[in-house]
Amino acid sequence: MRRGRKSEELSSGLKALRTIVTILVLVVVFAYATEATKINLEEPLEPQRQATALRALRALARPDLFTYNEEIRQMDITIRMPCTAEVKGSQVSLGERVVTLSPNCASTTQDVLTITGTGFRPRTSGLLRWYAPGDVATTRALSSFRTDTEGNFETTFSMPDIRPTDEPQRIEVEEKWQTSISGLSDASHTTLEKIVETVLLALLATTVGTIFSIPVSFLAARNLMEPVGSPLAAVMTSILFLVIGYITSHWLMLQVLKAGAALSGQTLLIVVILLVVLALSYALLKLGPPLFDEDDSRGSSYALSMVRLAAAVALILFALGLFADLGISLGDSLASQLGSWAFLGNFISLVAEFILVLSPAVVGFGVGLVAMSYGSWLGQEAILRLPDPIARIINISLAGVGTAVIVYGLGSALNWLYVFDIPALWTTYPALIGGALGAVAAIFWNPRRPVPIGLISYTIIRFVLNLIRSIEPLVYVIIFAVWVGIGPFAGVLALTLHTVASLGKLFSEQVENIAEGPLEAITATGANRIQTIVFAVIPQIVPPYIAFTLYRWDINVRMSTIIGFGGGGGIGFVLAQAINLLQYRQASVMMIAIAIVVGSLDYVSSKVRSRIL
Amino acid sequence: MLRVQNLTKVYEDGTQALTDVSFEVPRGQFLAVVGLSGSGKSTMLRCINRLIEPTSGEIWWGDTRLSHVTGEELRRARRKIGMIFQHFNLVDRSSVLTNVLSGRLGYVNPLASVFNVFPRADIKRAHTNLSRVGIGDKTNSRADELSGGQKQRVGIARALMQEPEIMLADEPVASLDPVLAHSIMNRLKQITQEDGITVLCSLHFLDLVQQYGDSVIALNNGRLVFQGKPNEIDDARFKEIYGKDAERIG
Repeated sequence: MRRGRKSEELSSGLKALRTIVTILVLVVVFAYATEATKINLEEPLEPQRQATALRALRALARPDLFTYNEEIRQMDITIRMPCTAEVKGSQVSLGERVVTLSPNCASTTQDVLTITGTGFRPRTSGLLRWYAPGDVATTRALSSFRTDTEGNFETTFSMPDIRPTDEPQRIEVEEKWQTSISGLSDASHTTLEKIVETVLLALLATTVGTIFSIPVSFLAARNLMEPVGSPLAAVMTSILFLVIGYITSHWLMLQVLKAGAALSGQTLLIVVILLVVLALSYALLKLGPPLFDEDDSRGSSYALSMVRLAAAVALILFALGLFADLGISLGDSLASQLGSWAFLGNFISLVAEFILVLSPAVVGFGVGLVAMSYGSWLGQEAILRLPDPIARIINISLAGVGTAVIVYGLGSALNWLYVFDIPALWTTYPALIGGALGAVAAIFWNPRRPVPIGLISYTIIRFVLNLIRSIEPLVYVIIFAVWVGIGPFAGVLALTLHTVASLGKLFSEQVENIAEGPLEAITATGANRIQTIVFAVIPQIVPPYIAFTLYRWDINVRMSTIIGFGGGGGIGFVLAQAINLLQYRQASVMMIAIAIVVGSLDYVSSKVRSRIL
Repeated sequence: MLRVQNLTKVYEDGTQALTDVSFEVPRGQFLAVVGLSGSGKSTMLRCINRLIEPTSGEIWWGDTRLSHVTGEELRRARRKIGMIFQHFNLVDRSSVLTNVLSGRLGYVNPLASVFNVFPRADIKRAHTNLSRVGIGDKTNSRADELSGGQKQRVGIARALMQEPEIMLADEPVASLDPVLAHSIMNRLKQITQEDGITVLCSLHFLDLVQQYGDSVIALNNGRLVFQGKPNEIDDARFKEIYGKDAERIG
């Protein structure tokens, strides 16, 4: 009892001490923070700086939105230099306007002369100009003024450094005022053009980013990946098959494209071949017994179906290559004829070029995935069906080969990046050693025990996504600008990369939040993994995916307004220029445009999102 | 004949869900499974179609060793075992037809099914099964537009699409009112009898057990405490199964 109280007292004493220490530490941290961030009052209170800031602020407050029609009124008064007669004032009147000059001559350029006027247009700015005698082209601005509410002004000036003459010299008093808006200023025109570019930049980045992030999100969802596990041998065969499938189909697709390119220029021939190829693939798919019948036994009819399917896919890919060749020439000829709609033609050839450039990799990856799933099935069946000693031997050898391939791949990647003096030190030898170690490790691994490959891939993908997400697009754009040049394209790439990573994460969290019931029910019907995802997961995630895509578009528009500061094009690029040239009135127009676009998109996307969710 | 031998399940957190459970169900019989919540009924049913991996013991259906099949064989075994759930587990945002067709996923070509292409015969089968459970007119409704009773009918139709030999029913009427419960149980009993399907159905209320069960097993704290005919459960047995503070209410 007593001991309890004592420890309580002690702990309350300790608590007080802890509080004091915490406060002290916080004070030190904040003190150092103000030091580190150079917070002070000297510079902001310095009059000159205040004046500069005020000037900038006042310029920002008057955005350079329009051009105006102007009206100008002038009148002249003469002055002598040097003084000839006695020094006095002189007066000139024109209608209601009266200008008084005092004195009416100057002996030196240091003399201060005062000019006053009455009867001018109230609240109007004006300028005092000196003209060289007998020469209207030579002029100097002397002073500026602004009339008061009565139309009076007074200003002082000194004569410019000129040669004294006998004849009187002319000084012009000019008033200038704006009567009506005549149109948009240059700044407004630039802003409109660039803000459209900005919104479209965000649109492209969001679209492409979303497309890539959807498959990524499934791989980064713990609830989908955790149950995935297969025997070591199956994992290894799937890796081997992925690599082999990718390399061979990548090479084959290149050959197919090359064959298509040999025909380039002969449009008619291409069209004929295209039609023949499409008809052939249609015949392969549709004639004969149906490809997708209920019988899913892996017998000879199944094999025949697969061969037919593969042949049809190959023909369609060949057709795709031809189609892309056609598209490029079609797009180019359209672009030269469409005038201001030329971008449509350019778009067609760009898409066609994309197909040509990307299709080997995409096809390679697609075929690689199919090969991978087949390899996984093959490895699993082999291990589960064969008697134990043989399964063990297969397991060990596959583990060896698979590890060697993985190590070789990693080594090649490093070599690509660092260009080592002796590449074999990083590729071949480590692969051999790694393979041997893998094989030895596999001796102690029960061949039938599943490897949690799902969890491993999940962890790797999550890690990479977090890594990519932690760096802002403003940084990525610098790297991309080096590659593709300064401009909106670099901005699109930077935003796309960041979008894939952050949407991948957000989407995967939505997948993790789905109701498990339907997943369980579909699994229980004997559906495979992909079928389960398509039937139980996708219907549940459509609304949140749309909502998050809109949200991301919103963010991307915001980002794209500043991506230009890093060389990414869009409104940010011209805004940075205007600020650097101290053109605050122009910058102001751009800031207004950003506020309007971001604000209205924010509003629209939140409305749509609240309706969907 | 479904044979469950020494089935034991220990969850990763150490929970002993099933201890040494053994029983047999003749082909075509309706077996009721009773016991308190948490007594292991759901775990036992899910061990049979391997939604949950048994820790030890064996499950045999004919000469298939359900407890040990893997990969492709597991999928083939599963498609002969239909399952219906207390909370129906329909995909709310899909149509009734899609929900029912998904019962066919174990049979159809995986690639075609991913693009929602099903053989015509299966679509016909879906309509037939929907009519059999009495909601042939709801084919194109979205699943979340249906009432509880209708949802369970769709659940049964989905299970029937598998042309199952075994039907696992995990408290199929626990979230329905008593009138609906009887109507659903009637339908389930009638259809499974017609098709010769073996049923394992966990139930809460003893009147349902006595009305629909051919035989009954009782679980308490993961152990099999009773095996027999429904009318053999007298007050003493009842207290044995549900604990001595329990009152019979149905």
